[in-house]
Amino acid sequence: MKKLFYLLFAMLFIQSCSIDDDDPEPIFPKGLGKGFYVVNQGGFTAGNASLSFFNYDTAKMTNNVFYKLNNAPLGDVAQSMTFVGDYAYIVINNSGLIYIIDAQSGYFLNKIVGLTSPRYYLPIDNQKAYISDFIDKGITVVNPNNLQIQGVIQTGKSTENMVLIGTKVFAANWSQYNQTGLNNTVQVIDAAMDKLVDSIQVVKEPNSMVVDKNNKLWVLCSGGYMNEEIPAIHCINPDNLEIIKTIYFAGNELSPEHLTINGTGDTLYYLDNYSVYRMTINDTQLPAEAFIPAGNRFYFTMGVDPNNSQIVVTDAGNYVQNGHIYRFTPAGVMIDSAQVGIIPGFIGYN
Amino acid sequence: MVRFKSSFEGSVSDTGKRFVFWPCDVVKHCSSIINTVIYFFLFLSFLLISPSVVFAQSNPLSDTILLPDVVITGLQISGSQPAFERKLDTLSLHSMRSTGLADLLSQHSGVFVKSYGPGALSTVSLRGTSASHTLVLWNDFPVNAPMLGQVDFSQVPVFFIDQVGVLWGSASSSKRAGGLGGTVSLENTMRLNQGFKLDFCQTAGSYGTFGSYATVDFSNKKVQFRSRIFRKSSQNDFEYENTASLPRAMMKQEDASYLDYGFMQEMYFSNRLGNFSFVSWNQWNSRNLPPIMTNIERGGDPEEYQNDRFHRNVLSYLNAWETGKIEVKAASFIENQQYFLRTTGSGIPAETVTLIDSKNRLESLFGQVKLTESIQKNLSVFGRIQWNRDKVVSNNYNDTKTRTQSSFSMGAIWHIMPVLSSELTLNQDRVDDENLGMNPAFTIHYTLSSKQNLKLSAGINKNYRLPSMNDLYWYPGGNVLLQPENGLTTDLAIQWITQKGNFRTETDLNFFFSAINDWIQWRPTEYRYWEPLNIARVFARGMEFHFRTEGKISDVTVSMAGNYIFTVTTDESQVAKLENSSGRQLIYIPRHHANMFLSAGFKGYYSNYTLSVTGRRTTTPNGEEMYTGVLPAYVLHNVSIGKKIRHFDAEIKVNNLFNKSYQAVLWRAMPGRNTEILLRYQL
Repeated sequence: MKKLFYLLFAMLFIQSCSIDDDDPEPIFPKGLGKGFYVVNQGGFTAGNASLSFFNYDTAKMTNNVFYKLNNAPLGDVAQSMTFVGDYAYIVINNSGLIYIIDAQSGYFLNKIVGLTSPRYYLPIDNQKAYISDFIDKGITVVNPNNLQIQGVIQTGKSTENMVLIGTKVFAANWSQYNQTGLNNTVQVIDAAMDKLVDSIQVVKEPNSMVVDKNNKLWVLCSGGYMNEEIPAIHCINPDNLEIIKTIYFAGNELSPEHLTINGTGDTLYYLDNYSVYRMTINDTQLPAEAFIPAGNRFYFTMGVDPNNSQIVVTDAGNYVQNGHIYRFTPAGVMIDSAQVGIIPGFIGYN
Repeated sequence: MVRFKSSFEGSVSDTGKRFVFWPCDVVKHCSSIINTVIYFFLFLSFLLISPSVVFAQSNPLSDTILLPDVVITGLQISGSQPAFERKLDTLSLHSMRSTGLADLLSQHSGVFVKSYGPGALSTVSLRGTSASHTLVLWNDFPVNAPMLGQVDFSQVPVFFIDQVGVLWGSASSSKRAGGLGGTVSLENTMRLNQGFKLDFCQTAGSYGTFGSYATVDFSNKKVQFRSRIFRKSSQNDFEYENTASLPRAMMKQEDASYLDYGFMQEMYFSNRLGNFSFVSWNQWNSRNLPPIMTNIERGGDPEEYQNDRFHRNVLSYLNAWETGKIEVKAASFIENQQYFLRTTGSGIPAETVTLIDSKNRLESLFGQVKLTESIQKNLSVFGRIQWNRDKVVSNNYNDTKTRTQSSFSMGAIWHIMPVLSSELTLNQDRVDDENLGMNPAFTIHYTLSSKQNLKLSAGINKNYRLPSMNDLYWYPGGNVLLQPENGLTTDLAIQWITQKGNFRTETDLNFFFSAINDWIQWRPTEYRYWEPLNIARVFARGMEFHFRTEGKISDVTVSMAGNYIFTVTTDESQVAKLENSSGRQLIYIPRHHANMFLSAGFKGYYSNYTLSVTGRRTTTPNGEEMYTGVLPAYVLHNVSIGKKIRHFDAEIKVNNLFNKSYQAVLWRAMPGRNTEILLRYQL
């Protein structure tokens, strides 16, 4: 009986020794500082998306910022980040929600839920914002004040990147996943009416869009999942919706992505074959050589700081381990690198 | 990823989720079962008339007594288990009859169980390997689905199994190739001369969980007929703290209901010609698939479920004579699987914007002949032929895929001295037209002290695992150029038995080292899909400690058993070194896990207690550097108390006694404290 007593005592001891969840690290007493966010997608259905922040003053990357501050994961497949005033809207694709955080401190404030497969958040005015969707054939209209869904603009296609020029919203129809509509258009929405009014035919898979200093719309198309068409960059007049110029890439096998523009709106950047290319908005030909060659890396996405034009490119590695970012001067000289989370897919500048 | 098909129709419940009324389905599919049985008998006939099968020596002596088959994997010291095999005791099986095999193994064996939740996918891994490296044999034939190569243990009711064994090292590879980590062996056994028996058990538990289990058994000196039928369902709407969504809150699990039912028919005949048996296992499983904890607020009204239906039949013949025996077995397995996902859009009326209706049909035929003969007093030899053919029809493959495997084995067991024996098995395997070479297994046993029942065993074996059909043919990404994974395993086992007063204690200590080359990993490609490659070189090493003691303290019968496993598993390939993941523990494999079982009985009252400890696990290769990358260790306690009164038995169980909040898989909700009442009638 004595042995049994010891045994029961040992069991209770084991129970008392069970390991509880780790406490979060101390929060940042003075906010995150001046720098940029890295949105790490995480694995699909793994729920391990994360947020990293690079501080320019300390030149230090802090990972797991969202978890450290809020004691919860970012979610399942973080897609993009949009800044509106003091707030940052982080779109969590497979969780079907948008987390709103304080852009300076990183603390969770609120959320928009009930979305199917959100991709990008675009503020229209104080009363309205649009959310594009990878699966749903419509753009969700949300009220940023009460975070309620006001309605859906039926587009008949899934939508990806969006830009606002005047009262027009241009939405790229990038994906053809589970869709019958062709993915070779940029749809035009009247933001006052919340209504699809027109569409512009472009090369297949318009994956990214920017607006230059002349208020012209630039659209980068990768040519299709199966390399059906030759990739191209279009420059579009947003007033009359005419294509001003189209610059084609060398062949179908290329798949350029992530068109980006600098803060002054005169220089374009994109990724092709894992290297960074740069051209001005006045060029009529694509650059012959890479601005930042990939070398033995596989650059996955990029960002250009609108204030200092520093370039940040990410490398997702093998997509299951932590990735890295590489920081370059505006002249393309590498400054430093840092480890970030799994699949760093978006650079967020406030 | 498992893709499921089911051709049977289900009714739609009020909640829109799919469930199946089981008696109708049983009737609907009788014809397919009959077809299977006919096909199966034809197949066995082919084996029986095959000239390669030597029956000339099988003429039994008239006074031969046919005993139930026993697999001998080593020289046994008095009353001990074989060195590289551990059979779960009947008390453990009895106490877990209303659960799935995953729960039984996690609480009573040294295998590691990875569970996605109650009623959801549960896989097991042995000795630091993955679920697909665990070979699962039912009456000697693998139930690992050819598509994925692994088994969902939540779908194996303990109620259908009479004997569960875990084999590793040379004991595993000697039985059949493929279990690089080890083998879980499930068996049904014949018991003659038991008369008429009736056993009915009804359970009711938390979260709308109900189970009904019935057995009708008749046996005399020559025949046994046993029918078992079960049905288990659950709303599975347990409450949990969602720590993955802000703000944190207590929530109810949704869309996790399940329904499983099935029947098993066994027929055994024993006469002067030998033992004949036929066992048929038929089961239907249907379950909704809940979102992970981060995705509970997603729109689009997702509907996600899987249905699974299988019919497994084994026919066997055993004949023994004074110096040997012959076994002939054949099996037919048919499985239909369906995975379904639908999301609706915002349009009016709502249209389907995501639809995956993945359907698979798997058919496998098996044959096995084994002849054992003692050619000298201390030397016995055996020869064995194994053959199987898998066929998969899937809308995830370009066309129908088949694969044929054959294996020719020879072996010997030599009792060199009374204290020294050895075993050698040589396996020559082929897959389709490819020769896979020789895979030997060698074991030596030495009894250090027969007085103290102390035995030392060492084994070494070469083994391999074929790529799964998904690895080869999944569209897109399947890689037909994949090579089999191959492994070399060494084991050292120390066993001793002590008897002190009324208590008998059995203790095992095992050390193991495995090197697995060409370990298959799915990797991203530049084409937006993933592709499997022979990349990793995994070293798994560690030790296992097992003890079991039983005895009496005055009128109280006491039984206690425990397992502790320490495993270090790392990828040491060049790719891992380049990616800086070399030397890190593989994901979802704890370095430490343990369990303990305590049972006591007194004048019809009985009580069982189990404790299981699961160490911390990483969920990504960089897990240590991420908050979500490490799952903390947890300890679970389960307790049950019951009373037997004549033919009746009443029991109450409390699972997760201390209401521990935990996750076995990242962001998969698990229930807190829950109870189950069990009533049983036995005649």
